[in-house]
Amino acid sequence: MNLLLTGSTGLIGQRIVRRLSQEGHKISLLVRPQSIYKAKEIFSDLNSLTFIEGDIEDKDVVKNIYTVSHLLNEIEGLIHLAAFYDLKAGLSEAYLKNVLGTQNIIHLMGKMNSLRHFHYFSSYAVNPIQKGSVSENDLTQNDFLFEDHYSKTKNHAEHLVRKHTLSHVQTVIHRPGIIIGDSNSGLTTKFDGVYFFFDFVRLLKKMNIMKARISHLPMLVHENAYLPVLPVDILTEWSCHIINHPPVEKLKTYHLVPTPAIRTKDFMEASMTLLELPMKLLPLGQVKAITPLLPLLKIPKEAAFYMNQLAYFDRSNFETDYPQLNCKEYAEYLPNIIKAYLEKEE
Amino acid sequence: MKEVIKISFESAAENTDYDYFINGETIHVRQLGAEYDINLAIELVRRFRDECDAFAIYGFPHEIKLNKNLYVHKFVREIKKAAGGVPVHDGALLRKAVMPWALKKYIDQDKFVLANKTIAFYSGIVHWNYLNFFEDHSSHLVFADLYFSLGIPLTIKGIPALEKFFKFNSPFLTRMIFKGNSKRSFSASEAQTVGMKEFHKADIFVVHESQLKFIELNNLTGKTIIIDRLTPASEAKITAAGAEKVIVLFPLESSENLVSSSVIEAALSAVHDGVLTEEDILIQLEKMNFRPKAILNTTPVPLKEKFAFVIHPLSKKQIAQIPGLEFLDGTPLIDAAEKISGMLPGYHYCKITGIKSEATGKEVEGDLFLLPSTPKMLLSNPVEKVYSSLVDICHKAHVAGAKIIGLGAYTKIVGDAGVTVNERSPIPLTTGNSLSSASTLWAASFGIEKMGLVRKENNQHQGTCIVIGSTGSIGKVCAKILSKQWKRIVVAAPRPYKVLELVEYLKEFSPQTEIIGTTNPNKYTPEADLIVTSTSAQGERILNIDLVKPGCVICDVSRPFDISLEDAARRPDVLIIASGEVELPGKIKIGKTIGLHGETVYACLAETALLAMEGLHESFSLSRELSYEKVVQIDRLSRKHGIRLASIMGHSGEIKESEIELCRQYALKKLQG
Repeated sequence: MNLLLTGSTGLIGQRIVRRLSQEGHKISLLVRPQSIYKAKEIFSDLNSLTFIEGDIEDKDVVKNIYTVSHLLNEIEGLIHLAAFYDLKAGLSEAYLKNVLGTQNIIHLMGKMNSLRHFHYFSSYAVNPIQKGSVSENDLTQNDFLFEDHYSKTKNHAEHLVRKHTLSHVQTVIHRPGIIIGDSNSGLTTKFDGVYFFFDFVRLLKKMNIMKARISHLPMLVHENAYLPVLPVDILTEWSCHIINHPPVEKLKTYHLVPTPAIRTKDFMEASMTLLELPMKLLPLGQVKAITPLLPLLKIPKEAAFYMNQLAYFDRSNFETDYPQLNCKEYAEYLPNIIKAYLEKEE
Repeated sequence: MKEVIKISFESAAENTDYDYFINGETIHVRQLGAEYDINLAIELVRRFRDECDAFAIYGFPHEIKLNKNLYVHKFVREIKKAAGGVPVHDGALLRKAVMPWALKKYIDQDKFVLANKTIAFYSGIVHWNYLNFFEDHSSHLVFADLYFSLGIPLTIKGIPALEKFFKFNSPFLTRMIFKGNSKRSFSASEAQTVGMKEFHKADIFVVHESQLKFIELNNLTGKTIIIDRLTPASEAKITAAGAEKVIVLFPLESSENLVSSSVIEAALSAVHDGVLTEEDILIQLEKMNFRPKAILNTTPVPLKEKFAFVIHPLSKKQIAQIPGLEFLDGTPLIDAAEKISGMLPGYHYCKITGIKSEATGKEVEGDLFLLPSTPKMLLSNPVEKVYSSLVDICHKAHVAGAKIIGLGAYTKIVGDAGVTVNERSPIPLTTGNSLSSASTLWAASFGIEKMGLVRKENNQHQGTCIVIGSTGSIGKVCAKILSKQWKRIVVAAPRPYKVLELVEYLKEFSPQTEIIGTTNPNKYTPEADLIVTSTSAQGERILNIDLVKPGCVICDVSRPFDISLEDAARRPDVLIIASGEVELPGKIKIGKTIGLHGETVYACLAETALLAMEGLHESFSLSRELSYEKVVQIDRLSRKHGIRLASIMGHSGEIKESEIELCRQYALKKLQG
């Protein structure tokens, strides 16, 4: 299939490009002019790629678009991965990439004559629901639930995708959970999310907290909170499978999260053990008064909500359509993740 | 292609791109929500100022021009500054022209929509430029600006008070920082205080669509909302609050996108050379074909439609029939009671339920209000006092949910027969005279049939009918109707030229009928089988009863009656009918006695119920003038919904069939003898 992909230089993008390229797809990468060199270097071993200069923040995305005829007439599938992912992001930067970028991509799609499939990468965070089950078909309209600009702008971008579906294009919304390194090698290029907690544990270790002889570490985490972490290689496998075997419906959304759900407390305690700080956690829940102090512990204050989210992300659509796609238990891959993290730190 | 960027203060989830066509040009419109963040709005303006021809801004505080001062919120000032030389439009110019214009158009279809209603504005200052239009139609304008802007639960009454509020607070209001999550709840307990009572009591609520995001609506059950434009989300919100009717003034649509006034103004500016003026807007408006529309909320369980009707005691004796005043009967206190009760206001007397249209199955329910004044008191009290009592009842009826009100007996005779009261009433008023006239003619027809002394051929009575007072409003309508039913008709009135004019008209109207004009009815009285009197003789004798043919039916429509009780008593062989009363369709229940037997009601009450059944909320019969077309229409509607003649009334109550038979026997005896 002739594919156009945005966000190819990111953690997920690089893996998806490689995988799809190996599978024989003809891929065009939309890359910002300032990143074109980097992109060519990353994919120097792949010779089936086409690089198109463009910026999703520009209204037309690609300058002189009518001269890029294969983009308009040959691309059958569009994978929109480019996004600004940072919980600490300011509104403006998150808005330009996530909302305006998606709006421009939707505008571009209207000009692509052969387009039949659109894969949009959203996030499980688009529904910052505190408790209960969150369906794949849910998309909150309550603007006042959001505690960070990333999730809010991703939510609004998904609204745009849902509202502006084209009659001849089949749309799939991929909603990944929190992405961590490769389940086998532990490798990653983005050390955020749960890695902030690893940083915090290392900080405690450096401070020789064990000498204090306390058995329980008080933590701003809810005892029954869930953490939908997913290794990047598993996400790649799942998403590429969906791209190769899209659903029949005009619009389908999938929560790409692990099952069974991982309890945040268990995941953190297992990580602490692997980081050689074997302590139990004392879950305090989200204490709003202390939340602003989290950055002192190397954890962004915006993470407090996710550490205390009790919601369960239902994946009925995914399990019904792709029952063969499974995830490893975190106990199986966590040592690899920690090992790679420690190697990077050293 | 020209480009307009719409910076909305709202969520980016509504972002969109679309083409808008204006004056033969296509404009690309890009809507960007600024996520309730002024810094993002400014950044977006800076980013796009070189790529667009005009900016439309939406959801920001409007510019207010008060006297000679222009008040601009600092957010808007900052946006304009960031735009450099690119024009920034908030749609105020367009709204100033369109809102009153559209509302005027709507009022042409629904005259009573604003009349004497209390109109509430969630924020009056937002509508400042055209508030005077609302003031022209209602003197009851209330504003929740204190609560909306400052959270103080007090209602501002009237435009001068609003102006004072704004002038005093403008330094603060034009600098106030607002956020998307600062929603003002009009349903919260703090908004239900005494200070907000006037606001919540209003009949009509005016809101700007962009305000809705910042408001949690109060309970709007049965209320009307006036809004500039309506998005599906806004419609859902208003409907959920229970509003009965939503009047959308600005239903402009471009494909699936609802275009706001700011976008139209910016698009106009993009294709226009120079600064856009009010004059340019007016020229453009003429080219735009749009009509305001009303959306009726069908979500709630439809309530039974309600009407109201005013009754009063017809004599001193009836005062003693009012529950609680029975002890006055037969005592000298009754005279004092008549005077005292004549000073009292009207009150809710009882309900009339179970009315159900035979045609549509629609149920209606009536509230009967009693004005405790006898005819004597009604006619002797100052007219203004009676008007005021009746207007007070109209307001009470309106609050009770009535859509129309009818005047019974002498309440429609006082003064200008309902015209002034109707002008001051918040709901349409009818005197019920159209159905009263129609039913009286039904009664006459019934009387003629029962007497059985006039032959009927080809649906036409083969006899003579006289209409006395035929050039008056009611007389003329009766003459027109009867000229279609009788072989020979004599029209009598005091002024010859009017008689001649009517004769000429009727000859053309009913060419098959013999039409005779006279100024002396007694000349033809001995030949008449039916005499209809509708004069303003005020009880003076207009007819020599001794000359009347035995078996004649006299229909005395005049009030006071033309035929005295003594004259009537002298001629037992003549059937004298005062009116025809009717019965309503359905299983009628009347809470208390209204002076009629069983389920029989006054025809004027039935007209009010009929208009409610038909959903015809208009002042159907007003003044002493009667329209032929309306009588024909009400006759048709009565047949449609199942209103029938129940009884015929004489000067002293109902005339039973046995009495008609007795009258017939007397007549036959006299004719034979």
